[in-house]
Amino acid sequence: MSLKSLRLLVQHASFVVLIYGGRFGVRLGPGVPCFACPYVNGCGGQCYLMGLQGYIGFGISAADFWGFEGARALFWFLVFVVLVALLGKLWCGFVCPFGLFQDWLTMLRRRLGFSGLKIAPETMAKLGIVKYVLLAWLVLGPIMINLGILHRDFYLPFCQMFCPAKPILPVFGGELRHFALDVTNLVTTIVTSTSLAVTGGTLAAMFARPRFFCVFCPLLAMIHFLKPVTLLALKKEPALCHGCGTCRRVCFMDVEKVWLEKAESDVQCVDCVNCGECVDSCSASGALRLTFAGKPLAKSSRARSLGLKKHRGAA
Amino acid sequence: MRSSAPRVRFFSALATAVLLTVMSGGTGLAFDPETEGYVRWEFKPPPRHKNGAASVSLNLVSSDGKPLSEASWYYKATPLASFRMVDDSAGTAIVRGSFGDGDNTLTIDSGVYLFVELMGTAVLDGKRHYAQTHGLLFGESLAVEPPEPGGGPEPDWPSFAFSGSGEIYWPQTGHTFVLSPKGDRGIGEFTAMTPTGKALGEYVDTDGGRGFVPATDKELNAMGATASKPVFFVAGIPDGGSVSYTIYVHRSRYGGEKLNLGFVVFSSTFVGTSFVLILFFRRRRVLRHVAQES
Amino acid sequence: MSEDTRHSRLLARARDKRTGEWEAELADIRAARGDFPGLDYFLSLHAEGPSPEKIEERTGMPPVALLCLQAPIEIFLAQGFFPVKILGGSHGCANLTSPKLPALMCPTLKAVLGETELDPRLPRIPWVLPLTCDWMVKFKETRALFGDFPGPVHLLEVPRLRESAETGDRWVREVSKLSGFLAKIGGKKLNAKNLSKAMGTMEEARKAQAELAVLRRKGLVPARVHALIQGAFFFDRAENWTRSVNLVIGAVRKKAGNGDAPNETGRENPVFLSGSPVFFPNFKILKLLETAKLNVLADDLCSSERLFPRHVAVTDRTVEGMTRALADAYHRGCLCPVFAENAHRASVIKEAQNEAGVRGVVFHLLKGCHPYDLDSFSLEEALRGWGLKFLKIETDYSAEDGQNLLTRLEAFRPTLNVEKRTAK
Repeated sequence: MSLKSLRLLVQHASFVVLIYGGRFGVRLGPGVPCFACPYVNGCGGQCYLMGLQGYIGFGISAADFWGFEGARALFWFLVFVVLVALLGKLWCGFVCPFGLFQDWLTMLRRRLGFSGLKIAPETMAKLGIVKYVLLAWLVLGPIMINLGILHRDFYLPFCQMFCPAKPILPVFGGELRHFALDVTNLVTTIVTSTSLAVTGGTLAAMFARPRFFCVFCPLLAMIHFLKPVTLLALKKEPALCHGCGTCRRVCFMDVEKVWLEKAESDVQCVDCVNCGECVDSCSASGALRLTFAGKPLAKSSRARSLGLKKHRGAA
Repeated sequence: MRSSAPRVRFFSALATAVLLTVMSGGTGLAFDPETEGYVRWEFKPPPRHKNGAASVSLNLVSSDGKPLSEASWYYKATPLASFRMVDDSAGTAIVRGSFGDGDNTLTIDSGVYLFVELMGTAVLDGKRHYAQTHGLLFGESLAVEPPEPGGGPEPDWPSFAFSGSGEIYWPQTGHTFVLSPKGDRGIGEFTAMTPTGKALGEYVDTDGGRGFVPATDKELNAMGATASKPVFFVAGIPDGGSVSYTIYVHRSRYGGEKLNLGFVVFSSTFVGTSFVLILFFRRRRVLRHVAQES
Repeated sequence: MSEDTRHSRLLARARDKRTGEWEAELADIRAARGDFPGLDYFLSLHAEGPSPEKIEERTGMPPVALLCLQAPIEIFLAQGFFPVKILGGSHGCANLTSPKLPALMCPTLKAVLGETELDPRLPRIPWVLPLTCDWMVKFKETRALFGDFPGPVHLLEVPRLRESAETGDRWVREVSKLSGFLAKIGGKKLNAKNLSKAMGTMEEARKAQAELAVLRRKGLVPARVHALIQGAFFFDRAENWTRSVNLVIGAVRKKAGNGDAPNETGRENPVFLSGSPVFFPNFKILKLLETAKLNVLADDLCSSERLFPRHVAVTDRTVEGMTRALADAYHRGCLCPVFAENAHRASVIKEAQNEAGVRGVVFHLLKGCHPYDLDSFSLEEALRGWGLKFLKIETDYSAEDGQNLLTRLEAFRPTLNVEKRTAK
C-alpha cells in the first residue's frame, strides 16, 4: 500500500474519532498533539494547545501552580511528550483533522483543474517565523491575563483569535455559531473579528496552497522542539539521491532540505509534516526512508514511485 | 335609622380589613424587600487548595446589615459524573449544621464533582427568614471524602424550586429563571433584587410559574466572561419573614453573537484574499509561450 | 574527378559501410542472442532504420528529430509529433563527415551528421537541439558546413544550474517555447487532456523499463539485448514498445522459472556501465564486455537506462502544472555531466551496488567527449570510497582497438573479486 493511501485511510479514521468520538464515549483527553478542536461538540480528544493556554498550562495562576493544578499540567505535558515521542510529525501528516480538511481543499482544487501556489524558500523562511510568534502569544497571553495586563476576554488567545480550525471544525459537528461576531464588548469584537478575518483569508489560501495553515502552526513548532526525543524521523541517504527535485515538487510544505541536503542524513526540518509524499514519489531506491527508532518503516523505491506492486521478480 | 348606616360601613370596613390581612398574611404580599430586611446567601472568594479539592464559601447575611441569630443551614449534595450528568451510583447526602455567634460563613469542600443545594435560616428582627442557593463544585482530589449519602430527612422549610433556561453552564443575563414555591406554604410573589436595589429585568409568567429575565448589564459585558453579579429573588412568607434565592448572573455567553455580521467579515476576507491570489497567479504565469488551447 | 562525383562516391561508400555495419551487428546479435524471447520485434525495427517515412507510417505521427534527452517526450506526443533519436552509431557515417570536422570531436554527432548526409530527407524534418555540450551548441552551425537545415530547427537552451527556482522557471519557459515551436510547425495545441494522455502513455513505458531493469539486475537480460530494446523506443509508438517490452518481461520470467530466480551465470562479475552513450550499430563496448564475461547489470547511459526519467511526479493536472513537472524531471533529474553541479551522478551506481551487488564500473568514454572525461575523475574517487573497482575505456568507432580493450577488460575481471567491498 502506498504511504499516500495509508495516510488517507488513517486521516479519515482519525477525523471520525477526533471529531465525533466523544459521542460514542471516546475520551482521549486534552493532550492530543494535533488540531482535535475542543470547540467541536462531541469531540473525542482535545488539542493540547487549548489546555496549554488554559487550565493545564499557562492559564494557571502562579499561586495555584505549586499544587494539584501544576501537577495536572505537568501530567498532561508528559502525555503530550510521550505521544509526540511515539508518532512525531505523523500527528500532523496522518492524524490531524484540520490537516485533512486542508487536504480536501487541495483535492478539490486539483479536481477543478486549478494550479496551486508554491512558496519560494525565502518567503517560507519569513512566513515560518509566524508560528513562533503565535507560540509566544499563546504562552504570554494567558500569563498577561493572569497578571491583569490583558483583558480576561483574551482568554485562549490563540484559539480565539488566530486558529482557523475554531470556526471551521465545529461545522462538522453541526455548529455554525463560531462564525458569529461577538459584539458583547470591544475586546470580544476585536477577538472574534480577528478570528473571522484570519479564517476567511486562510481558507482562501488553503485552497490555493496545500497545507497553507501548517506553515503557521505553533503545534508544528512544538512538536519540532521535541525532535530530540521523537522516535519517528525522515532520513535521507545523500549518496543515493539523484537530485531530481521530485521530493520538493510533491512536498505539501515546499521543503527544499530533503532535495538539497548532500551531507547529513537527518532531513526532518521544522516545516516537514511527515506526510510521506516524498518517500512515495522518490524513484531513487533507498534514498529516503521514514524510520521509527532507527528501523525503516517505509523506503523510497523505483517501484513505489511508479505505483508498481512489489516488483515481479524483485530483489 | 340614622344610626344603622355608620354601623354597616364599619362592619364592611372591618370585614375588608380582615380579608385583606388574611389574604396578605396568606400570600406574603405585604413583604417589600426594598424596605424590609431579608436574609440571603452571598458567595465569598473560596480557599484555594493545592490538593485538587474544590471549595465554595458562602456567607449568610442580612440585606440591611443587621445581626442575625439562631442561624443554621443544611445542604443537599448530589455527585455528578460530569457537570451535566448525575452520578446515579452515589446517593444524595443531606448535611446540616448551625452557625455560632459571629461569622456566618459556611465553606463546603469537595473532592468530586458535586451539585449542592443549600438552605439557610436565621432570625432577623424577630422574624424567621430563609435563604437558598445552589452551586457546582468541580473537585478532583482523594484528600476530601465524598459526602455520605443519606443524612436523614430534608427539613421542611419554605423554599423554591429553581430552574433556568439556556444552556446549563452558569446563570446569564437574558436567561429566564423560574422560581416556583414548593408545597402550599403561602410563599408570595418574588421580587428580584441586587445588593443596591431592584434588579433590572423582566418578569414573565411561564408554565412552571413566575420567572425573571435579568437585563443585559453593560458593566458586566465589559468585564470578563467569568465576572458575575448577584441577584436575589425574595418573596414573603406568612409570619412576616421571607425566603430568598441567590444566584450569580454572568453576562450572556451568546447574546452578543451576531452570525450575519460574522459571515460578512468572514466572506469579505475570503473574497479579498481570493482576489489577491488570483491577481498574483495571473502575474506569475510563466508559460506565456505555451501553445495552449484557450 | 569532379567534386560532385567524388562526393557521390564518398556517399555511396559510406552508405555501403553503414548498411554493412547495421546488418553485421543485427546478424551478430541474432547469432549470439537469437534465443532471447521477444527479440524479433526489436531486431526488425532496427533493421528498418530511422527512415522518417517509415517512422511516420508506423507511428501515424510526423517525426521530429531530437538529440539528447532534456526535451520532454510527452510534449511531442501530446502535440502530435513523434520524437526520433537519430542513432549516431555508424563508423561509416562518422568517417563521412570527419574531413570537415575536428579530429577529436564527439563521434556520435559526427555520425549523426553523416546520417543527415546519407538521407537527404532527414535534414528536412524539424529538428530540436538541446544546447547541452559544446558539440551540441555548435551542431546547427556545424551542419551548415554540409548545407543548412532546410527544415525548421529549434534550439532549446538548457540551464546548466539546476538548484534554484529561477533556473527552474527559465527552463519551463524554454519548454513552453518548444511547445510553441511544435504548434507553429503544424502540431496540435497543448491542452490538459492531450498532455495527460501522453504522460499516461509514457508512465506505462516507465513501468516497463523499471520491470526490465529488475530482470537485468538479476542477470537475465544481456547487455546488447538491453541496448537493442532501449534503442528501439524511438522507432515505434510508445504503446507498442511498452507492450513488446512487457511481453519480453513475461517471457523472460517464464523462462527463468518463477521470475524470482536470478541467473547466476548472468550475475557473475557484475559491473556497472557508465559514460558516453552507446548507439546502434556501435555496440563494440557491449560485445567486448560480453566477451570478457563481464555482466552489465545496470548502466546510466542516456542511450539506455537513462533514456527518459524514471518518474514524473505530477501534483497539478493543469497544463502549467504538468509542464512544470515534466520540465523538472527532464532537467533536474538528468545525470548528464554537462551540468555545473553533478554530484548526484554516482547515486545510480551506489543504488546498483546496493540492489544488484555490482562490484565495478566500466567507464566508456568516446574520444572527444570532454564532459564525460572530466566527470570520470571525480566519479572514480567517489567510487573508490565505496569499494568499487573502476576501469576507464577511451575509444572511438573504429574496430582497431578491440583486442587491446578486450585485454584490459579481461585483466579487470579478476580484480572484481580480489577484495571484499570495504565500504557501503
